Amino acid sequence: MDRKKIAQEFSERLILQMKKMGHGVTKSKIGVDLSWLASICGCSYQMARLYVLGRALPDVQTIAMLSQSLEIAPGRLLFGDVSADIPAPKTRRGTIEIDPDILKYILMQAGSIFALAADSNETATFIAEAIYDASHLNTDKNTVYKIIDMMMSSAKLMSNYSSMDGKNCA
Amino acid sequence: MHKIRLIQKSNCCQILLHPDIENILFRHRKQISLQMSNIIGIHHIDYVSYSIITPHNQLVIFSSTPSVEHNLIHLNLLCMDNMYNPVLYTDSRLCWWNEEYTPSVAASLRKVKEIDHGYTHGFGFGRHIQDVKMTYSFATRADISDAKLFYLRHHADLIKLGDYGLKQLAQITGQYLSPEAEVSNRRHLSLIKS
Repeated sequence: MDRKKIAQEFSERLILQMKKMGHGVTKSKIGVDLSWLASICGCSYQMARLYVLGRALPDVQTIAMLSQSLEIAPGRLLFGDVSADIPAPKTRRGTIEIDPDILKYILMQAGSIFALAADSNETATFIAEAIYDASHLNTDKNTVYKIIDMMMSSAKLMSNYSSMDGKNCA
Repeated sequence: MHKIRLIQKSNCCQILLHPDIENILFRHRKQISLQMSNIIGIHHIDYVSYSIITPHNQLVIFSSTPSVEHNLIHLNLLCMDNMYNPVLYTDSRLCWWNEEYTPSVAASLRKVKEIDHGYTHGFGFGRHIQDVKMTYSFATRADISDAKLFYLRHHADLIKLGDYGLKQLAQITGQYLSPEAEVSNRRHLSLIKS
């Protein structure tokens, strides 16, 4: 492949990934934080600008450092979605990491909610959201349990209202 | 108690977080989830929240992903993000999350609000309806090549969507927005921190 084309496509992926990782800036025309890029690549601001404009390609070592900071596989950053399309080492988007005790606690509670629920699909969506919330809480385990109780009680309350409505209708 | 100090031109008013804000975030989880599901997915939206000033000058938040706000409160970062200061917005101009962060803690705010949840773009706007000051906040995980232009084009839709979602939550928000709302709902579970 033509080096010019690789550089251009690399710059597009670099900009996208930088924005994704919160290094976008709205004030500059380029749209990404060049100072941050320069500091990660260990190069000048001008060189970082050339990378972003697709006029230069970093060396292999720099790409490795950059891909680590941007949480993307180096091959994917350089070549895009080809055979090097492997998940980034640190963050795997779309997956949830959760303490097994917390997951067990949610699932134990979920049983009673499914028993009360009229719509199991809607309940499953809610339980998935509760798992997501619990896995993203930066707090101690006891507080997470209490928050789970609160979320589950909101579902039970709604199910009770629904069943009361059903009885009234009947 | 968490305090947000807002300075608006020559006026200086102080808004407190609702004393029960953390519980409110999760207390209505199911109802909010159900109502927000009507909005989520439209224009690639993955997150919606409403920040509302009550008649008692307290801030309450209703969020489709309450763990975002819980972590911000827990880390004392909420007051460093203007998106949660409805008083600062006099119109419905579209604002971008990263422009509303206090610069000194912008990296932490980005991590807690965007990176941890995989949001690629966050934005919002002020909304004043019948003297109630609010901000509507949205985020997406989609890779939209020119997100700014895309959402600016759909700004009117976003306002309508936000209004619609808020209307759907009227039963919940009403509990906190009526002048008599000071008496809290004691039947609810609450977090007791040891």
